[in-house]
Amino acid sequence: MPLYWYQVLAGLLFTIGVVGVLVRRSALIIFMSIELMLNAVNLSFLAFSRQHGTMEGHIFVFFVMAVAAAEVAVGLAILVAIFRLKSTANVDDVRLLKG
Amino acid sequence: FIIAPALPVITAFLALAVIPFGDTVRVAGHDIPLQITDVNIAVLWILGTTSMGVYGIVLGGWASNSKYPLLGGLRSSAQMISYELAQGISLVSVIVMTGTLSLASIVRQQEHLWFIVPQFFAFVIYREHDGRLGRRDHGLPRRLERSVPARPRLVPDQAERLPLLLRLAPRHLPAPPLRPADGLRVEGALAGLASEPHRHGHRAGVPAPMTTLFEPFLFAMFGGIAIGCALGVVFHRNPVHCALLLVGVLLSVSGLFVMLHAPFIAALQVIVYAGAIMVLFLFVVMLLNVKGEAPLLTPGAWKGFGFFFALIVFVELLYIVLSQGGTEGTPAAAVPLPPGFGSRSS
Repeated sequence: MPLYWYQVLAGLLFTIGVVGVLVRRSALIIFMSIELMLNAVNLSFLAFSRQHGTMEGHIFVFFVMAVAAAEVAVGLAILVAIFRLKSTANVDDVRLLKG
Repeated sequence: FIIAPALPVITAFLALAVIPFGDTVRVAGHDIPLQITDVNIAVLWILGTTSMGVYGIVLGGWASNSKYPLLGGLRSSAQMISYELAQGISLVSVIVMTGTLSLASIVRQQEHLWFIVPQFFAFVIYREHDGRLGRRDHGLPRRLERSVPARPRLVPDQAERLPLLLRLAPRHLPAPPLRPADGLRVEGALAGLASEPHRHGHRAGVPAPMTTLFEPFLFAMFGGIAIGCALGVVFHRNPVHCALLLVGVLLSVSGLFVMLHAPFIAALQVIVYAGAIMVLFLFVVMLLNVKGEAPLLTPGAWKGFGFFFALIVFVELLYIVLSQGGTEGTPAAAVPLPPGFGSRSS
């Protein structure tokens, strides 16, 4: 089975994640779309690693997963802090710095 | 309400599939191995399935549509995850000692000396954290006891404890003495599906034609589920539905990882990503009680730019992938995989 199908699938998942980030207003869904994009990139890395027969792709995926875990923790903490202040998770409502 | 009790039971029984209850017995002329399947990543399998069982607790609390059961469910699942960490680390000492993740070989290596002797502290830590999960008071001080609601499902509780207790046995206590590997004839489910026969030298692999037949079908299945769930994540309004659909994406992408000869990364994806990170997402959604958004096509909020830029991104990605000559045949066939690809030994 040609390996470029995996790349196309990864690209499709990435694009759906981009749609989620750009279109949705709830910060939580935006976070989830970011996780979707990270997963698409993981899939792409592993497909390339399979194609070349090297392990560098696996190691990169390892890093991406660890970073994603840390980023989710920090991002959700920020979200909870903002929610406590403004009792909304809508990113359109966070506009205190607007002139 | 309907799915939540089923989840811990299903995952608990799935975890039983790799536990070696004993050697091959001979019943009425048939050799029956007392282990359903000897997967060579059995420890990761158990960790993965039990971490998916946490969702049953979270969803059960949320499905009650009431504050205190929700908090009880969240607290229980938080405990399960944090004790998973401690128990996981105590298991690592055994894994380092034996150098294998297969439960059958861990049991076999205890032929002369039970691991409880050299790994006594690991055993104590494991047993100590196992004891907390089944207790009615969840290990909390007495005055908080009454605030923990009685969870109405008893079968999943006992079913959850079963793989924990059974996990203990192969690690630190031996089973009846096993014969060498020719007694175990059942193929590992993961090993059989998408890997090439030459990777598992000592047992007969799945014949090659079956793999090449299966692969496009499996890819279409996993890919279709991934794309469907991804579209659901982006377009559903209820954030809990979005989180659960994202878990679906993660699990199907994990299947794709197995097809790409990365079983360890696939297990990590289930244990870490789907099992812990998404539970964290669900915690925040449920604690903040985030309401669903207004439908996508609200007047005065034009979404056109977002879709248009996403389309541009997709076209760019397609161009990059397809213009590199990737359309010629199967590059995978040209590069033979080094032995031990995707596993610890490479």
